[in-house]
Amino acid sequence: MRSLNRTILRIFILVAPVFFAFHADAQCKRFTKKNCLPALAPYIHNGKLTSAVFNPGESADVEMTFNAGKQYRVLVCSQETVGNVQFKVLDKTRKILFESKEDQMNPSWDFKMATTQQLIIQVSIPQMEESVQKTNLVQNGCVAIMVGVKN
Amino acid sequence: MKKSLLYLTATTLLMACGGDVDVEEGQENNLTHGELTVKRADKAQKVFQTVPSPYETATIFEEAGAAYNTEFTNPIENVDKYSTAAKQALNLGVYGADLSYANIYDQTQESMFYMNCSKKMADALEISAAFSPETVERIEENMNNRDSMMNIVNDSYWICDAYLKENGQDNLSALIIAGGWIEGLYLGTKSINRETPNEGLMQRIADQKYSLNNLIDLMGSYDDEEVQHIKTELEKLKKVFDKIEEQEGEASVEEGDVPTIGGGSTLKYDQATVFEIADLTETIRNEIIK
Repeated sequence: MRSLNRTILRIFILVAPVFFAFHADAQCKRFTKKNCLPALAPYIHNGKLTSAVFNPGESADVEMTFNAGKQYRVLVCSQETVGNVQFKVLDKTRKILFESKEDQMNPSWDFKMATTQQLIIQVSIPQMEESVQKTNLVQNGCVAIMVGVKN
Repeated sequence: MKKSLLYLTATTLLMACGGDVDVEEGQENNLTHGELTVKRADKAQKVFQTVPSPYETATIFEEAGAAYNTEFTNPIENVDKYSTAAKQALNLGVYGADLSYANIYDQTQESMFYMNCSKKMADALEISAAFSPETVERIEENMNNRDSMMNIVNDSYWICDAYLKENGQDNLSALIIAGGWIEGLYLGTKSINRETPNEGLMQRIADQKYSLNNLIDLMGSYDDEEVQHIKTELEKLKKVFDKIEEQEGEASVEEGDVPTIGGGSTLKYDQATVFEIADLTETIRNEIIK
């Protein structure tokens, strides 16, 4: 009996991280569909869905080509658990072209492109507050980086 | 103890099944990671590389003056030739690009043909949810609405991407993206009139230098033999694109009702290099559709 318990425990330890990751990913997709896609309107989503579960203090760079003559909306949408996610738009030399406000929930920026450029959208997840840290519970959550376009 | 462990295991497995259900629900949810890869994920930094969707590429070339030619697309008779999963994935990407191309030029009948070819490839890969009867109906109803079509076709490809990723077949997802990108570039390059080349179109082709680099990075994430083969072909193409000189410069933002980003890096191409890109792209693409 003890041997059976150990086997079940081993199987659980091996498979749990993979299954939990899939579940978190599926939840993130559902969140993005329900909460983020509508906020892009009247811009048309460019078809690329960049979303993932982030932990406090993490950051991410999304490298993307923006085409001359087009007008874009960049929207960073996140679950409340991760706090107010900030984003910056950088050029290839990493010069900051735009920076969202610290206290803004689901910030966005509309802009036009005069020339075709490879730009970087950099998102930063706020650090966990000290009071929360004491509970040892990591407040992770889904963050989606969406781009809409119109002619 | 035993009961608790069994409960935990069962719960975990049920949650995993939830992932699969989500793919089926994708017809409504329309969500996957899309055309991106996490290139590097260290302690606190993730880098996502993105590759433009075939619809986006087709729109760019159309706006630059590329003309429609039904002879450029992958013949529909070819659809029954692809028997391996790798070939089916690559040509699902190819037919998706052809569908986008035909739709952007309002070629309703051709769009239906390429939708059927895409469906056949998706079915062969056992992703029947991607082109379900409801999706096909939506496509038929919205054939003349470009924006709606863009959303529906993107949805179908997200479903494929999600299904393959959640079934440990990310390599096939990467091949769909590669097939679509190469076909999109091919259709653009085939539109060049070599006697009197359109400068705007050549510039758009040169601009693909950026997305090629991202695509090669994406393919580099997989050890799969077929993916590596395509990566090798793309690296040959990169050598030609590398002849296009990039002059780095700072971008600037001009404020207005809507701010405008100007300046930044510029690409200096010459006609011979663009023609060389066109020739090599054709070789790679013809190998894919063979």
